Amino acid sequence: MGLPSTRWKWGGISILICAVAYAILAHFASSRHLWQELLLNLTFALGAGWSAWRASRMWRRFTPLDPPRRVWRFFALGLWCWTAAELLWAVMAYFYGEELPVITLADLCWVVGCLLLIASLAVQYRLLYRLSAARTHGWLATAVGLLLLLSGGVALLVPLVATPELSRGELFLLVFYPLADLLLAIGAWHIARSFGEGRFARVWYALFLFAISDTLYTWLLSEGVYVLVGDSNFLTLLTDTLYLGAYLLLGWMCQAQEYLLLYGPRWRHLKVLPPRSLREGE
Amino acid sequence: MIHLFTHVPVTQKLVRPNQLSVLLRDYQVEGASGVLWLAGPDDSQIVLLLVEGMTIYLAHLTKDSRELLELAELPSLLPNRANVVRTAWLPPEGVRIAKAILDWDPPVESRACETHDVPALLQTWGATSVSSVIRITWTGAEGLVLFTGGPTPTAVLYADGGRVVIGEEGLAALRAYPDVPCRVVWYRAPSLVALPEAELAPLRTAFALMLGQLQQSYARLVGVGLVQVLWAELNRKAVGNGWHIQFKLDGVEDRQAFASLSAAAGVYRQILHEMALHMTMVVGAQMTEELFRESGNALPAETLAVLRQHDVTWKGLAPPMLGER
Repeated sequence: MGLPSTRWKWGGISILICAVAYAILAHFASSRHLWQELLLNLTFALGAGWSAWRASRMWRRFTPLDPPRRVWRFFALGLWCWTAAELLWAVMAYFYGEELPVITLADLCWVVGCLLLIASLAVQYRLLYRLSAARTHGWLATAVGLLLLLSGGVALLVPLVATPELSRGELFLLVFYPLADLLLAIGAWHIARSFGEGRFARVWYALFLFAISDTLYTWLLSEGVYVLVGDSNFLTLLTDTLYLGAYLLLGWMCQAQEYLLLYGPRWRHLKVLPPRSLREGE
Repeated sequence: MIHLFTHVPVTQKLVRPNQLSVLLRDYQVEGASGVLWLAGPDDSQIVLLLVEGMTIYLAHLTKDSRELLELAELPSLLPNRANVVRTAWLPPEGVRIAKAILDWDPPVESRACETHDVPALLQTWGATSVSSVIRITWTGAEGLVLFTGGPTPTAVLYADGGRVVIGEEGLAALRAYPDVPCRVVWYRAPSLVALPEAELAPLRTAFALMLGQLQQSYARLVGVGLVQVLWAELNRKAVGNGWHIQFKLDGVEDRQAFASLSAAAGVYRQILHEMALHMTMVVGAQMTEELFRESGNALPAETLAVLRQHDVTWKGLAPPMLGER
């Protein structure tokens, strides 16, 4: 087992190679070969899975009585839900091809994942600002309630006043995804700023970047520029690469935070590993 | 001039005056330990001891004087040109020996001997109740042994130009050296008149309570694991400084004897500053200040008053300045 700085450096080099390799392969892939699309889509599942695994390792570094354990439990579970969503979507896109429904089981996983990440933000807020349990639950209920109310409201009311091309479920997601991304971006940014120049800010900055890349995807999709199934274009390629990169960056920052928890803030300068008693569970 | 080592490997680096603070900050971030020498004015020397990034000692050495300095005074003493920084990278135990020599120089005895005389000298001189350092110098190596009031060595360093060996291994290397002529030098600590415990107790207790509160607040934010890492860092610093203070999750064990209340306050202040530095790196300056404020507020008023009276404070714990809320 090498030094954490070496492992982290190799982690960074690997994710850079992955992102570049993805961009090159996606550029040359043909939509006529479904297996190529499947492989490319599975790359997202792998990226999401890696970040979820890194977040889970961080979660397990806390003792059961540690208050921050809940933050990272919700965080890791949220990412596992997204991994399941990416996997389901890749498999369904392979089998359905151009007939892929707009709403699939994958969306349920994405929605649950969003809610878990919002819960993770709420617990981190609670720890940062010493909020009482009642107040935290109140804020969380308000945020999630508003999110669901607005999305549900649009899904229920729009068909009553107009005849849209989209189904109720599609209308719900059309509002839910950008609002959830906005909520995640604002929350992650605010928490990162609260940690200032401290190392604990990094994962939250990565989540902020993820929410931004996801917003870009949602926006291009709503504008009809993003190609879901079929021959890709430059903006689709750029969005997909950023999206994969954001997943990998999130995992990489979780890896850094895990080393921070194990070895302290000077982990990148360690010349030798500290005694085993200081890094139990590794 | 005090000569610390003869056979410890030393690296050299050319540093411009404006780069020195950056260099020291890098060492602080890296948590480096060792001895740094810089050329001062008129053939004098500036010596700096680092333990895990913390500057524990800074002095200006001339031919026959030694003046302790504050870090802020350093730039005014350095020549306005590139300076060679000589560094001996040592573990905290080695730095502790260097500090003891700097504190206790000049030696009380120096004599020529042979290697086979060394064990008996270590036994005789080490058996005294006063702390001391015994230095043995051969043509190709040196050994330094620190005793702190008991017959068992507290720290041992052996160096032969290519390697530095610490602890038991160092003692074994020293004893195994071929039977050739050597020189033995004995540095002894002046007898310390310790402050009566009754006088020190309020400050010692207040500091321990403060650490307990800080531990609780910090663990709530980052988890117990990182608190353990912080305590391990501080324990290594305590070893390097020669403090008999041990940081544990179930409370601080403080058996350090102090000559005065201001000496105790100085050590406690240094510990708080080191904690604040670690916390700032993890949760940022603003949150660190908040943690100190929260911990201070959780203390009984009289405890906080004791800490403030001796200026054992940090931002957030210090009394508000005029005009500050």
